[in-house]
Amino acid sequence: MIDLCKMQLNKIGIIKKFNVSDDIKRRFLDIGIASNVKIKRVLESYNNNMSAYKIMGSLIAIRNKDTKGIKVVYEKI
Amino acid sequence: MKKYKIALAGNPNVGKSTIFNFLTNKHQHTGNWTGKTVEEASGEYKYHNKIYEVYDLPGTYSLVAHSKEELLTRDLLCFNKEIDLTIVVCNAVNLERSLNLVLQIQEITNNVLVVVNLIDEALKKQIQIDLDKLSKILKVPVIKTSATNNEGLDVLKEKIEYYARFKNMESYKLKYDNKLEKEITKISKNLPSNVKNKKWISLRLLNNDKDIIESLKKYSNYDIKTNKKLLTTLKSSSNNLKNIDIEVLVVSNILKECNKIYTNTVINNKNKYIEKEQKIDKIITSKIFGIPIMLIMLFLIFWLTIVGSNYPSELLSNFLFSLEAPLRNLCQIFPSYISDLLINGVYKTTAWVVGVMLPPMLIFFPLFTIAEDIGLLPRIAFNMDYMFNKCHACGKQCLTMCMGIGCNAVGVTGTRIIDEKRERLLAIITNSFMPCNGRYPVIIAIISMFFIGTTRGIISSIISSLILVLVITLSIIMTFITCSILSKNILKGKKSSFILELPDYRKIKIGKIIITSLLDRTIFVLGRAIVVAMPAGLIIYLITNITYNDVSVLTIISNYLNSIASLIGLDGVILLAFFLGIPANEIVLPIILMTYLGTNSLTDYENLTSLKSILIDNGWTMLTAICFIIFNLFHFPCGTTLFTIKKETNSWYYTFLSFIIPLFIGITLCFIVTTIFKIFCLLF
Repeated sequence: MIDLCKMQLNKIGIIKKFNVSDDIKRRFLDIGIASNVKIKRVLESYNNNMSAYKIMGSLIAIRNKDTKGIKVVYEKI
Repeated sequence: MKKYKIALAGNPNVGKSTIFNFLTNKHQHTGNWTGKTVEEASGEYKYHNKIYEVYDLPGTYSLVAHSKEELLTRDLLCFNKEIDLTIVVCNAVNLERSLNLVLQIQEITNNVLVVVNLIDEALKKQIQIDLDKLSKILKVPVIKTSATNNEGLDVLKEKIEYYARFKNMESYKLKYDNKLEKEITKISKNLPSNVKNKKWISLRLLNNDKDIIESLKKYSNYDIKTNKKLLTTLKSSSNNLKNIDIEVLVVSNILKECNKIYTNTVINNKNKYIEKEQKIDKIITSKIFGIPIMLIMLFLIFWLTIVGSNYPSELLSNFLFSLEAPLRNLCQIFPSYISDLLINGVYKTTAWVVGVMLPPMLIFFPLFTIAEDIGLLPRIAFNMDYMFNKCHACGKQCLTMCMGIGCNAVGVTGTRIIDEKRERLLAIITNSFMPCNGRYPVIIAIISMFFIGTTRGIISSIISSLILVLVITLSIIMTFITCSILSKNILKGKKSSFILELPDYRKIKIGKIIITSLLDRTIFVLGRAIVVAMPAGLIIYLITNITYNDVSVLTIISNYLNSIASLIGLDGVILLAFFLGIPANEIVLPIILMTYLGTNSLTDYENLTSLKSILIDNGWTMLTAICFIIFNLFHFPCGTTLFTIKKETNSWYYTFLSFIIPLFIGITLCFIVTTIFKIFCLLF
């Protein structure tokens, strides 16, 4: 398992561990980040503090520090 | 006549406001970024002799409220007993995400109409949706629309008329894990009969949702603390589920259902388009091009505004001032002091404001709307977040700063998209650092007169725009510094999270841009400025005409201010003009001219050359021009903005801070520049 924000760009991962603080948990759940959901990291900001992910068809930007505690495994093709 | 109540709900940025505007013929602001609708808007329309009251709710991803706006949406849908039909607007391009909210809303009401909007974009991206199948699965009517192209909206009106009459239509209901369902049933049984949506409320109570307890008190007049049996059941149910994260379980369940419905109803071939958008995103957010592209865009917007507004501005001013004579003739029916007051006071001030503001606004606002509509603003926020994060502010502040260039009051209201109170206050207090429409035309005029020369041409307009970009950069830098200092003192607190949707790029719709920029922004901002300028003109007229020893009160006060003003590179007249310009920043320069020329009414100038000679004759130097620009950027916000800040923060303290902080920065910067300039002059 690797950290969500350390995923290779344009690879699809499946969220296997979802352990985030309470104040941000609900936000993640709202945008579709939960256990067993497919996610793709598609962009990183130029200073690497943010990443943008494709989740349920939308492109969502999240600060890397906020995604600590979310671990993924790459989808097997 | 029966009045039907219709709620318009949906994720952010799916076109609710466009549908609302069509239905009610109103002009709620629309654009391609999340969080434009920050408060509930309502409007009415009549159709086949029935009245429909429509509520445009702020966009939300779920019914679990985090912010004031989401709470508003949740409470209206959940507790307002009189809503006849809830329209859930979905994004055809991202239907799976939209379904998440549809299923949650179906949990609390049966009377749902699903509108799959942006169907044109979905077709372009080769996404096919089987609407009949979707309707069968969801057990509610589903229609397709392309609101920006006015497609399907007449059908929507028909369907609203038809379905608003029904009560308790059949609806799709989610099924949770058996163990969870069992506990929900136990809790539901203990809720009194007047409480609606027992299953959903039980689930929220089980989740320890404190807001729902407050909402139950407020809307159903029911305090759960008075029901000991319910409290005991809640405790035992929580114990029974203690190893389960209920929230995650529920959401995973909903997401699984969404995915199932989506897979059954949508054929998606949009990968080709995703690749194209990704390529654009990579360039816009790259290390090499990201910030330069942003600055070039800012430069282009200002350059086009400067070049485009030069001639219309002069023509409009000439036209408005040419009306003075006929109006004076018309006013001859009044005594001379009243006609003087009306023409020299009210009319001339208003004409100045319109003449200076309207042409740049007519160019700037459409250009800004284009940047907003194609989806560029959230990308700018993505690029700028690093800097905001460094100074403990929220990246979304970048969006509200952009809004502030149009109008600071609008920028302050826009800060509602920032969830954390501390970060929102940072954005509010520093919003006036961005020069609004009332200020930057004056800055452009000063730049042209003192830094480039008053001759017109492409080169001079390019240099003007570049200097203006530098001026805005100074504002941005000061915003970062101020946020950083405030975060370590009076607005101390931890950094919050930052999640922002980067919307799909959308094609420019010229018609929509004209309507949005003309009606929503230009007329709104101009109308407000006129309303403020008219009484301001009256007051200015009075203080210039009340004299003591044949000297006007205005001149006396400005003479007193001279000694303080000289320390910051200005003079008493300029300083007084800024204070008198509190109602509207546009009237600062006219007041200065009026005082210099000793006239008792606002003065028109023939061109920039004559204006420059008036200023130079009254002691203006390069230093005065620099300090004027700095003070124009950093002084107190205008009256409307201060009023908005008081309304938004509900605090005199933060309103005072918003007044004093920019003023302090302005005075300090001007003092530093003046001192350096004077030392330099002494040495060389």
